[in-house]
Amino acid sequence: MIVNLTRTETSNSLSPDHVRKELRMMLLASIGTMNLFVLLVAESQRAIISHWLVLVCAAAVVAVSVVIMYRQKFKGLYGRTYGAIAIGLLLWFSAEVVSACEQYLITNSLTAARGPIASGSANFQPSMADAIWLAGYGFFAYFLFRIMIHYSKSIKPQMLILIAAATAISALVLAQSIAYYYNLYGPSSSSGASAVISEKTISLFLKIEYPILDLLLIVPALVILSGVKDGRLTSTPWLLLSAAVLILAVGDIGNIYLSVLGVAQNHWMWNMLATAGYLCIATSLFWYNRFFIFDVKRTVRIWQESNR
Amino acid sequence: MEVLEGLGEETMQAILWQMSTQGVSCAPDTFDLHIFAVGMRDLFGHGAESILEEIYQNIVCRLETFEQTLSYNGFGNVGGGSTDCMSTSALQKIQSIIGITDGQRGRKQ
Repeated sequence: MIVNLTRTETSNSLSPDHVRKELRMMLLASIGTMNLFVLLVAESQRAIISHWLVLVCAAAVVAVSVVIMYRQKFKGLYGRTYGAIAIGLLLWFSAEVVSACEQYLITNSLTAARGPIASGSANFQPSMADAIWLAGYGFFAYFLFRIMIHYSKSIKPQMLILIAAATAISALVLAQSIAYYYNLYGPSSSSGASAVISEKTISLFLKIEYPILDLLLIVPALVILSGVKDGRLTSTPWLLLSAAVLILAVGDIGNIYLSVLGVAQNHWMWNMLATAGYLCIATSLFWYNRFFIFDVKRTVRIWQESNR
Repeated sequence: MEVLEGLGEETMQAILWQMSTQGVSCAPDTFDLHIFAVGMRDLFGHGAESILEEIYQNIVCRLETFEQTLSYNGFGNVGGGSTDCMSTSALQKIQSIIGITDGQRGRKQ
């Protein structure tokens, strides 16, 4: 049942324009508050605090995505794609938890972990968290590319080629740069030549893969945004999602360079970017849950209240 | 509605509700294609073109009387006769299909 309402009778809570303003303020306030909190604590505690905030934000994102998956199941195109991103986000959160546990077992402290936000020589060995992170990227990629194919008819081919070329060039430059600094500052092994090549190759691959995968996700996100940026319902979630992918990519790149160069003190700065990225994803999913999944009871209740 | 239902039933209801708040009626006797397209563009921006294109493909597949005048392009999509599909919007293609259907019915009568 769909209740017919005129624009004047629509409550503010159901109006995209009103909700957009509120969400913008809440998002900026959340990011500002969390990052300010990290800056105000003692410098020795920043790494731990920032890491815990990343875990909390990742958990919040998973909670919103699970709600979406529960409400719409896997029905329809959006049901399947948003179900996939929910699984991907769950895997990323699991990887965060696994890496924190591994770090605690190794060093008995919850400082910077493995994976894309790791630091120090302990990161040069592959771990279970890396496998979980990579699996999460697969679901995220399915979500973005499937939606991009859905909107493909409204996207100019020139825009697609431009964004893809820019991303490919950026990925190439990034890979070359990381490999260059890795060969200068990376670990050296005293064992046999084949073992050195194997370990160094694997660790270099781990260093390069995360920012390149992030850059590959940016292509469909920006392409979709170019097609739907004018929509009253679609502009906000895709702007937030594209911003989140960009922010997470910048954070991963910064972390990789710090770990390759052996600088372990300032990883908390890149964790702040991860916090901001996760909050943007959570806000995007909240918008989708509000405006793309119809809630009959809520709509009728608001209509009844506004027409008393 | 099949195309919107393909996005998901809850999503279809949410879209139709948002359209109804703008005064767009989807009831068969009061439906206006142009107003519907404008409403979709307001909600989805240029992304509405993809949805309207899907609606066009859906309509064409259902109209058996146009088999002789239709040709398939290289991507397996149905074209509108000799008209190049890429140069016309989805709304124009839908309107042309409806126009052809009405004209054929007039000749038969």
